[in-house]
Amino acid sequence: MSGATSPLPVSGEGVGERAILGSAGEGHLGATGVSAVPTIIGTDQPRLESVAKVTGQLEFVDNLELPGMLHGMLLRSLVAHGRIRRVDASRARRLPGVYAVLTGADLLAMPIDPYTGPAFKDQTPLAIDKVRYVGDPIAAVAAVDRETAEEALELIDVEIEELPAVFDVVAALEPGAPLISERLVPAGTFADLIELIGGEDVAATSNACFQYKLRRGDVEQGLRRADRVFTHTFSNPPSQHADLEYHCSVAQWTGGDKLHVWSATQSPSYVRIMLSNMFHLPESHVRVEVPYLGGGFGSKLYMKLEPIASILARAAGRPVKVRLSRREEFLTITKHGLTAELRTGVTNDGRILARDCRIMWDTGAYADIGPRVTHKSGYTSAGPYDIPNVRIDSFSVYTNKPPAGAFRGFGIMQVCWAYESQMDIIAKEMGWDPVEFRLRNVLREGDVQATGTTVSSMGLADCIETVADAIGMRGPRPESPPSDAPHLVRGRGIGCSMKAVITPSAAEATVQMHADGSISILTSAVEMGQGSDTLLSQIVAEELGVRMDQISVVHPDTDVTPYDLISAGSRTTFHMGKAVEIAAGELREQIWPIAAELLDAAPAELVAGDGRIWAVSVPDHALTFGRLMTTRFGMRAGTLIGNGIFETHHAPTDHETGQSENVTAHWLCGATAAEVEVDVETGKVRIVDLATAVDVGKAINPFACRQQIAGASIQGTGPTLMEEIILSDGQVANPSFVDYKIPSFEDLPGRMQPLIVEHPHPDGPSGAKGMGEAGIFAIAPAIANAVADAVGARVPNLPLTPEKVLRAIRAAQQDGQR
Amino acid sequence: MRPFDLLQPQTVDEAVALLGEQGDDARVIAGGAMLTILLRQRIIAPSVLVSIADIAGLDSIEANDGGLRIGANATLRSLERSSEVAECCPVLREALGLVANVRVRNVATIGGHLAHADPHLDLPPVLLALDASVRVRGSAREGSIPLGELITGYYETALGPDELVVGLDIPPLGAGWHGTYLKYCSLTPTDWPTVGVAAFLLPAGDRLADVRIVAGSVADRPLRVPEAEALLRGARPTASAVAEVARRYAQAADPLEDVRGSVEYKRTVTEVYVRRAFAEAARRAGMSIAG
Amino acid sequence: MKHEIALTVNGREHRLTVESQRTLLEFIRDDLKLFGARESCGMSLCGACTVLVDGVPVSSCSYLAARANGKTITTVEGLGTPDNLHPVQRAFIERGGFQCSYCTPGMILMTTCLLQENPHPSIEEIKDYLSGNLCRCSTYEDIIQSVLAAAELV
Repeated sequence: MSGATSPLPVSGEGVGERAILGSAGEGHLGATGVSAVPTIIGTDQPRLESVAKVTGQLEFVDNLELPGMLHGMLLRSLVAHGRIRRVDASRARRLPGVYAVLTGADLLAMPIDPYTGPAFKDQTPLAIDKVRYVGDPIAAVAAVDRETAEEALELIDVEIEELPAVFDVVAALEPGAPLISERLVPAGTFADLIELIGGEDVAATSNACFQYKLRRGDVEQGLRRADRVFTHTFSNPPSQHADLEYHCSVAQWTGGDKLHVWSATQSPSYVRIMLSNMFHLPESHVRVEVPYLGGGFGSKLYMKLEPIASILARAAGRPVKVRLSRREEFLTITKHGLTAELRTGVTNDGRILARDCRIMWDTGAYADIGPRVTHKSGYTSAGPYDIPNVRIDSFSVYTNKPPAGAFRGFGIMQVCWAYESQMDIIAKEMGWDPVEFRLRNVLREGDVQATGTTVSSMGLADCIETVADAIGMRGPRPESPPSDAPHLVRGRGIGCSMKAVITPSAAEATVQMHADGSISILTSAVEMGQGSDTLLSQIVAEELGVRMDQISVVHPDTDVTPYDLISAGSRTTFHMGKAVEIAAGELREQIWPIAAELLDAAPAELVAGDGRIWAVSVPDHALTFGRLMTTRFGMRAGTLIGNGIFETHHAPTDHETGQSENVTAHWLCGATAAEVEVDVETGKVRIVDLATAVDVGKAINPFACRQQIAGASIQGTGPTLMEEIILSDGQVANPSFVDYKIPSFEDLPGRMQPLIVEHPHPDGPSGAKGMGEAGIFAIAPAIANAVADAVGARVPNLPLTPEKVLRAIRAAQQDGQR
Repeated sequence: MRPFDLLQPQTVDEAVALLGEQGDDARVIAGGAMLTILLRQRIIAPSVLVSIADIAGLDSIEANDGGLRIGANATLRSLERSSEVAECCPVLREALGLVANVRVRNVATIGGHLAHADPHLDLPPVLLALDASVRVRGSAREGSIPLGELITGYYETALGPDELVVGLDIPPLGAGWHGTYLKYCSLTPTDWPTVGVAAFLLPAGDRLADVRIVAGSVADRPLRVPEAEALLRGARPTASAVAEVARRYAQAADPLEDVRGSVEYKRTVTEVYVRRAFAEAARRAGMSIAG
Repeated sequence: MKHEIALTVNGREHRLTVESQRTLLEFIRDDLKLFGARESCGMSLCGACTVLVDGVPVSSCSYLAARANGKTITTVEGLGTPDNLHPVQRAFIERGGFQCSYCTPGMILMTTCLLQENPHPSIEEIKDYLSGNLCRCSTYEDIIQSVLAAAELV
């Protein structure tokens, strides 16, 4: 059980006590003497929005209703690849209750730039000349209610000339394969992507929209010198985020030149920029608000429904809400399928000498963020190991499938599936212990990673040892099979991984102190369940000494809250955490002198905590922050404001070699060990014990960290054991929870161990690092390695359905008999 | 959902008459657990729904000479929690607890569950093994149909357009019987069964006086293979005989390929679960299976 | 076809007209503006739309509003308020039984029914009863702890 054994403290209670030993090295408190200051960092804090969450009052976009609001719905292609010959919407337009019907042709007639996308401008809100997958939106309707909109969709006649379609990455790369996107027009928004794909609008020559290359050492020579070379191919199919809240956006125009959008998005700042481009408006005229999200996991990144809602609202002259259905979720964004070929050379003394990786990413009909997935996971596609000779070629490939985008980990889960599966195959063949083999090669402090960047503040070796010990991997094996159930066989496995956090990036925050001393944090970080509101409040509470119950977090509203890159990629704790820390520090610089004067003490002698501030030598005489504000303004009035900007920078990677002395602001990492029980008659896998350790740097809210680690781990068992988008001629065959199963209470591991490892990072708030993704990285290979340990059989393509496991067991038995 | 008219008769006669008037365009809705979903998906779009939910007295659960007499509108959850069911048919009670989830069981009725004739449901195999029959009312007949004759194919029944299932009769099993229902889900336990097997046996000393085995989800209707059962009847159960019976069920199975497995895989797990269900029933009966 | 229905929702009586095809979830959200029940699968499989009808949990996404005539409906809003939380709600806060909370109203309503039927459920019984309620954040372990804590409070 991951649950705390004792209840969470109610707000303001149960904070830890930290003895401040006076010295100049004690940070801002800089106190002399000894005093007990309550600390908030490192304590289990309940979520600020807890009461709203348990009473059902939490705001989601779909709760929003505006006067005169219409409902938008989309007509989707039934053809995987085809040229649109005719779309006749005249009957739909005549249906009472219908305010607007739009087609791709209508978009071209509007004064907008309909082309958008985070990497390439390859997608339009409605297909313009071609449809590229089954589900591609062709027309949109805004009507008084969903029923009328749905009826109108049925009145639209579409004529599409079918073109040859391609659904497989390998086939898509073959010469003569149907070309899915004819031009590659770089989007030019994100710095890392501008650098990668340049700014040139070029004619596409193949379905590979992006290639990432890494060259380190001499891989061919390394493979020649190796004592053994292993070649394997691994794959995983597309899967879906299945965040419980559907995508939903509401758009409203005021005065013709101001656009107000409420959206379930993880990237409000990006959405504003993109809408500003699309409608040729100043960014100041586009306002994007985000309340809370019912999960995201990458599905709600970049633009999804915001453009079509805005266009419909423009055409209808009324606010429009567009909300998907569960079926449409499967047609809107997916997790990338991958095929990875790995050649790995090892020496007899247990070192990896060379690794050659050829990786194909199935990015579907539109690139979405596929190039970043390819690139960011490219850095570490050879694994978290110290390998002198590495070659990585990875390709982002168009196919006629629903678009693939970001999913928790930006591709790391997929590449980890490949390299950590192969690590165990190698260990078994060579007769090595899989834990020791990893520890022998894992990157440690000061090692140079494949990109040429030196590794620092990364406790992966610690994570590996922690999980191995947690499930007793180095202890005696369990009785297997037990005498009363000879068909149940147990095994153990491990996996580990690392990821470079998105760099360069920028996060900004504003911290306001009001007249009564209470605090507002203005941030564009999106609270989607990960606990960012609470965490950011803890950082500010610690920095200023205010109580948690004095703090309110103002949710993303681009008219009010400053820029943040995205709420994704395990960015928020490290980046936004640091930005609010800086902002709170700037506020402190304004408040401390006031207190110093009132308390007749030097600012360095001041201590603050629990909503009060006092001189360290006179703890009995403490002032409230409200008192300080009244002093500053001479009445109950005023706002003091601190701003924080936290930017990270990198050295660009060389196009041919992928080398850079600084590719990332920090590395995040984690390891998982699993014990499984396999039913050798059915192939069914049951997880007996699952231990995941993540190096969080410093756990600002340990309960929330464990919750994220356990949540990521259990979520990761889905694509490992059961989740898979099944396509039949390009059509998603299982777009519902009837046939697309996600883990339930009944699928929980027998024991779930979420474990925290802390190797502080000097740049993070209190040493904290990103961690939300790391728990999911190695779930699949750890389980697959445990299955292989149990039954001597391996399934190279996820998910490990009982049928595939059984087939592998039988194949292994036949091999054994030969 | 496409618009439709929901009619809410108060008696069975009224319902039968309404169905007769409306013809093929009408569907009966009882708990609506499944029908509402099919409507929402637009898989069906009838213009009229005749709800039998308001008909009084159709939700009774009564002990009946060691058996059970159940009204069609009894919900699965009320059956699951009924002391009569627990006493008379403990295996049925176990199977009830495996159907979908608590919310579905709170609205799904036994009549609707059976009349839906979905081959992937948990209860038909158990009820068939228990020799249950349904009471039917229509304009032309009022009578009882053995469950094995009610279900005629995928989502198909022997019911006429104006006929309703009004009740379920489960005869007493008799002394000495032991049974079980084992459900296997290849993806998650919250799913439909990949295969579900009901096995009942009646020991006579170290021999089997009688045996009934029904496999669900692997054919267009619950699968019973009498010639396979016959191999065990009157004999001492041996592992090889049970394995042979399991093989014959697997051969007779005619499942559909879906996300839960291929035809071949479903046959494989049918074999495994027939064997396991028999072994569990034997264990409950205190019988040993000779090596 | 329109139906006049009279029903009690969270202790308040309502008389309204609904179309035959209107679901109870649409009625609760669109007509009564109660947003604690949410759609996520539309097939009775995820539990996000759970409400109590005459005290037992149902999936309101697949329940016709017309059938609720004469019935008593409880949504999470009727269970407790911020000023007067239900013990199950308190337990979920104390044990942190949620992340994004999209599933939470359903989990809480199910828990109140479970504890009425079975005041001291085992972990296996909790998993069985809640098995049709999905949490994609996968907070399942903390939800189980919340239910166990609720059993002590109720």
